[in-house]
This record gives sequence, structure tokens and C-alpha cells, in this order.
Amino acid sequence: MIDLLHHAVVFADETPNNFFYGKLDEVIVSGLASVIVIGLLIWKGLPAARGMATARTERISKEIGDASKAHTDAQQRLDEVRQRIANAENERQRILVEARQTAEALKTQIVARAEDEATAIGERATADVESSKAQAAADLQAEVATLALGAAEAVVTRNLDAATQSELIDTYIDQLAESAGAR
Amino acid sequence: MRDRTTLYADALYTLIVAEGSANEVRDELSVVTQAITANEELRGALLDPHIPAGRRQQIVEDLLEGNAHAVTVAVVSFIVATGRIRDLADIVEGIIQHTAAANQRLVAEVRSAVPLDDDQKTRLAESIRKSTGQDVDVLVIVDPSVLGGIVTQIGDEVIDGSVRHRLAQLKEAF
Repeated sequence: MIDLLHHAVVFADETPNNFFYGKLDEVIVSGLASVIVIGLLIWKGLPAARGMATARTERISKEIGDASKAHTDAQQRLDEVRQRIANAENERQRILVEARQTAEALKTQIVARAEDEATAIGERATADVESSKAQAAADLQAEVATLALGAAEAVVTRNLDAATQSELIDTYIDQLAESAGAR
Repeated sequence: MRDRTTLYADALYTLIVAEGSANEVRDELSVVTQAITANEELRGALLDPHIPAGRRQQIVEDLLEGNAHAVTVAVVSFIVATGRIRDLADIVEGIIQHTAAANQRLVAEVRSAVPLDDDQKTRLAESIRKSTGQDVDVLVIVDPSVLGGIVTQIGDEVIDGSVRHRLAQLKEAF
């Protein structure tokens, strides 16, 4: 580099139309100052830059790790949520099945009860009808008996003249006497 | 303590016995009782508190005098005067029981639609005597509701040979 700088200075000093013509000392000082600054920068700044880069890399790496862990956690939570959703679906299905079974059982029970009641009502109605028929028949029979008795009484009364009355009394007395004799 | 009806029966029986002809008076009282019970108009008049007692007695005496023993007329008139005509049947029943006890005979109350002649009464009394082993006084009550035949009651025992009873049996057989 110094050779390069020496050649550049020599060239400049030997060329009149050059910008650096007549300013060789200034160039040399400036060059040396630049070299010193660059050297300082390399000596002190490079390790610091390297440390910063390393720290940044570590930070980024840590952030990546954290993000990965967060991703894993999120995935785990997602799985849990999915599992809960699946469980909820199963529970929903179970409740639905149970509700259907309960409804079916209730339906069967209600239908059976309604059928029993209908049967009982029918039997009661039949019994009532039979009872009414029997009562009507008994009433009719009693009425017929009363009418027949009335008719018989009228006929008997018409035919009960004095001779018949006397004969009835005599028969009664004879039967009483026979009964007494039989004892 | 005996009730008032029994006391009346006791007192009037004593009176009847004292006057004689107890059996005749007993029979007549039975007939009179039946007649008053059956005739609602007569019974109503004898029960009517608005008719003076003397007037009611007069009704009885007008009806019975000449047709019944004087003691019979007096007994019924007395019962009417005391306002006990409602109890007439029970009082007469008491007198009948006293007479039967005094005679040591049973009283057979015979209900018939028509009166019994003497022969029938005698034969009936004889049949009952054979049946019960005791002498019997037959007390005939004419009751048209019997229709025909006879209903005999001796104490609590009833021997029903009436047409009414046979018709009732016929009705039950239906």
C-alpha cells in the first residue's frame, strides 16, 4: 500500500497538470493520518463490531428459539383446543343420543299410558252400556210385572164373587186343618 | 212407667169387665176401630180440634147407638172426648190382649175381604187350636185390600193365604 501510495505521489509530483502537483507533503500527511485512522478502526472497532454482531446473532437466535417455543406452545394449545372441540363434539353427540333415547322412552311411555287409558275408558264405557242395558231390562221387566200384576188383579177381582170368596176361605181353613193334622 | 195408651187400655178393660159382655164389646171395638181407620172423612172429623168434643161424641153416638153394645158406645165416646182417637187402635189392641189373657185363649186376628160366617169362624178356630194347642178367639177384620182368601195373625206369626199375597209372589217370580 505504501508502495502504491509512493508510486501515486511520485506520479503526481512528476505530472504538472495533476491535482496533487506541488502538494506532496500534504498528501503524505493526509495519507498517513488516514492509515492511522483505518488502523485504529480495525484495531478497536472491528472487535466491537464483531461483538455487536455476535450479540445480535445470539439475540436473534434467542428470539428465534423463543418464537419456536411459542410456536410449539401455540401448536400445543391448538391441539388442546382441537381436542376440546373434539371432546365437545363427542359430548354433544352423546347428549343428542341420550336425549333421543329419553324422548323415545317418554314417547313409548306416553303412548302406552294413552293406550291404557283408552282401553280403560272403552271398558268403562262398555260396562256402563252393559249396566244401562241390564238396568233398562230390569226396569222393563219390573214394569211388565207391574202391568201383568195389575191386569191379573183386575181379572181376579172381577171373578171374585161371593161363592169364590167363600170357596177361598174354605180352602184356606181346610189347608190349615191339614197342616195342623200333619204335625 | 207404662205409657198412657197402656194405661187407657187397662182402665177401659176393667170397665168393660165390670159391665160384663167383655167378648162382645171386644169384637165390636175391633170392628169400630177398623171402620174409623178406613173412613178418612169420619176419622178427620173425630180428629178435628175445631169441632167441639161434645159434637164429636155426638157423631160417634149417632153412628153406634142401636147398632152396638152400650158399653162399646161409651168406650169409643170416652176416647173421642179425651182426644185420644189417634190411639184408638192401640188402646183396643190392649183391651183385646187383656181379654185373651183373662180367657186364657189366643187371639187370632183374621183379615178377609168378606165377613166369615159362623161355621167358617168355628172351623178356623178349631184348625188354629189344633195347630197351636190352645183355644183361640177369632177376631175377623174385613179388609178389602186382601182381595180374597184370609190372612191370620196370631201374635207374631202370620199365615197369609190371601189373593194379594199370591199376586205379590207372582210379581216376585217375574
